[in-house]
Amino acid sequence: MAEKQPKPEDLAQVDYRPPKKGWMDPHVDFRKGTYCYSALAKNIEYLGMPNPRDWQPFDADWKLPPNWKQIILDGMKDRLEKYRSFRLFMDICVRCGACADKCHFYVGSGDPKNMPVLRAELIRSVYRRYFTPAGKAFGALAGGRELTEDVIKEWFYYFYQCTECRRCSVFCPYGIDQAEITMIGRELLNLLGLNINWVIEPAANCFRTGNHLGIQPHGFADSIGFAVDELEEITGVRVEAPINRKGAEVLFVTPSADYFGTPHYYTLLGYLQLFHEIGLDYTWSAFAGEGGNFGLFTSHEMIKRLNNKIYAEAKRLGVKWIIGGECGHMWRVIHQYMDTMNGPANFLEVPKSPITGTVFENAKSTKMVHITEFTSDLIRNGKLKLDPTRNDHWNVTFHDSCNPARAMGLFEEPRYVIKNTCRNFHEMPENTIREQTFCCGSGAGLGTDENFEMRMRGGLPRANAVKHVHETKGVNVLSCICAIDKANLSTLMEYWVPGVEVAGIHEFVGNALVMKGEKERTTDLRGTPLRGKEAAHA
Amino acid sequence: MALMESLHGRRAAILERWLQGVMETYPAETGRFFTQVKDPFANPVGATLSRELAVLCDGVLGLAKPAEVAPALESLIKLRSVQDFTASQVVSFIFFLKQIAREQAGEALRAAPMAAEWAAFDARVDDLALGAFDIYSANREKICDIRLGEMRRKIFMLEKASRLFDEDPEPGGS
Repeated sequence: MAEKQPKPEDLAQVDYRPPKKGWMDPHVDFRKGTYCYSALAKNIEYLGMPNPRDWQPFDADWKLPPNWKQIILDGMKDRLEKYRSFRLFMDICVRCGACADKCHFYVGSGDPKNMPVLRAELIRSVYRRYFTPAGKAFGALAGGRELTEDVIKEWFYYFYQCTECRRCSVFCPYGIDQAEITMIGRELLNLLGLNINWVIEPAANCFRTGNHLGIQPHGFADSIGFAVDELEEITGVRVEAPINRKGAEVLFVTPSADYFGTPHYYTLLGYLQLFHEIGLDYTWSAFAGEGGNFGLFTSHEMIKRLNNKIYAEAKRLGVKWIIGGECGHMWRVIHQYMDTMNGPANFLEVPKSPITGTVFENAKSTKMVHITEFTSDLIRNGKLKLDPTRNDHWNVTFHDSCNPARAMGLFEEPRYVIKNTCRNFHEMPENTIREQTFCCGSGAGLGTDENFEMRMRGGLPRANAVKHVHETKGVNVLSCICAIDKANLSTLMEYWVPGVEVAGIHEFVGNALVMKGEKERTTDLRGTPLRGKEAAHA
Repeated sequence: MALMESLHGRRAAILERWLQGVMETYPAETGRFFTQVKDPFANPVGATLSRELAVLCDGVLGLAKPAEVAPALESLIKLRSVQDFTASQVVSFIFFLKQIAREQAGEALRAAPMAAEWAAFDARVDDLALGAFDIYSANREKICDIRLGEMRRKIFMLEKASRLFDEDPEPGGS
């Protein structure tokens, strides 16, 4: 029998309301712009991970291994036994709803499954069905769900729509950490070879060359050398940028985007100026040329594998301690995992600034100091000659990058550096900064080109707060201390708040720093004429 | 004129129904959140919808100037252009006004002699919808430009280095 044809008057009856469906229905539409492409087989193979093959999320057949269900259930059992936090988070939620409207993806998209409580329920319902007596006996009545291929697809969709920013956990009265639930969800998906290329390729590159971009040591040296040349043109000062130098006091590790992308590059120029000016005895490493660790978005084992190079290089080069650059998730790894995974680094010394004598007690165990801690200590002790008027063309606000803010509580040091290098600074509204900061919408590997619409939705709450200070205070630059932020916030501003640029904090330091022997500065590091120096520059 | 005057008197009710209709284009749980949370930084979507719909409503009723309506339309369509909607769903909410106005106008104003005034009212709604579609298209084109710019920023050093080579060719090179 032929399919029933609608009459013309039926066609005019369009209901624009979305169809009602319960949250237990796992079906997901993979609409272009809202998901990331799958990992290439060669990258999965390189890392020795399971089930390398060609597939895409929009394919009907995801080519799962025949025993996929057992793999997931065994994987859950293993992790429930291994991580007490995971078991606790599965059992403890009382569905109070405190987290529900705190996720930037939910706030921007309105998709209920982006409420942290529901995102967790996607996996919790399977836990109930297979691991609790009530769920085993009563199934859906006890909140349990059968594990089906559609559930796996739903996990993939929503666990790659969580940036592991942990804003929701700030509001949870029980301290349930959705980032850790997402991490376990992704680990389980990885057991079936379900991963995204934007995470796995950088991880594979990192494993091979030490950085996300796969840049080899000579390429690394070229990039740094290029920056040194350009800096000389701008400042008239030739700085030293030692690479792989054994016996240096300090190893400096920063994200690779700093020496390859923009606006990150101007932050790199700032680091180079600063270290030269204070005469720091330091070295770069062409092998630990990446602070970022995409293992954090893959599995705990991968975090450890990729993080290992930092201490290994510190040992090989014989340094005393380490400074880390402006990076986001790198600091979650350093602050919360490195010490137990690859430490204790007893071969290193407790960091002590050779310029000020300050001992960084907070880094006594990891031996790794955040660059804004280091720089703010220099400023506080009057060791830098700064001319903040050189940043007068900037009207600054500061985005607390999720991981430095929520994973290590770094709130004051970046602000202290900004306020000493810039004269125009305005905070965004209170409920969008510090521990309540809104994510850029692209962390945890989601900053892909193909995921553009989802990123714009997730980034809306942050952009909305920037728009407010742009319109009311004339803010024209959004500063941050995270490489993913610098990449994504630039895009976010272009769409939501045109007229606002993005910058790293050490770009401001570089602009303001008065160097010994410098020529008269007429432009900032970007080549923009300084206020009052337009004629000189022309 | 009688129609417009009557609708001016029903402005609050029209706006309320319109806002409710737009909220219903989002999942039910979310419509409640968008409506109830008043802090514009905790709920930017809800705040944008209620703020800009009021301006658009005034625009159609002839109570706001085109210069006020344009940015409100831009802001609202920019938001819906990246949400989970098809192109027609992005702009569909504007047409809701036709039915809402008729419901609110009452029996007498819906009678045949008012046909010309209704046609004029509908034309104002259609103009708004056409403007919305232009903004939607411009946004989608802008997204393509932004994506291209983003790709270029990621390989900034490569581009910078290649430009250097262009400007400083090898001796004897072409």
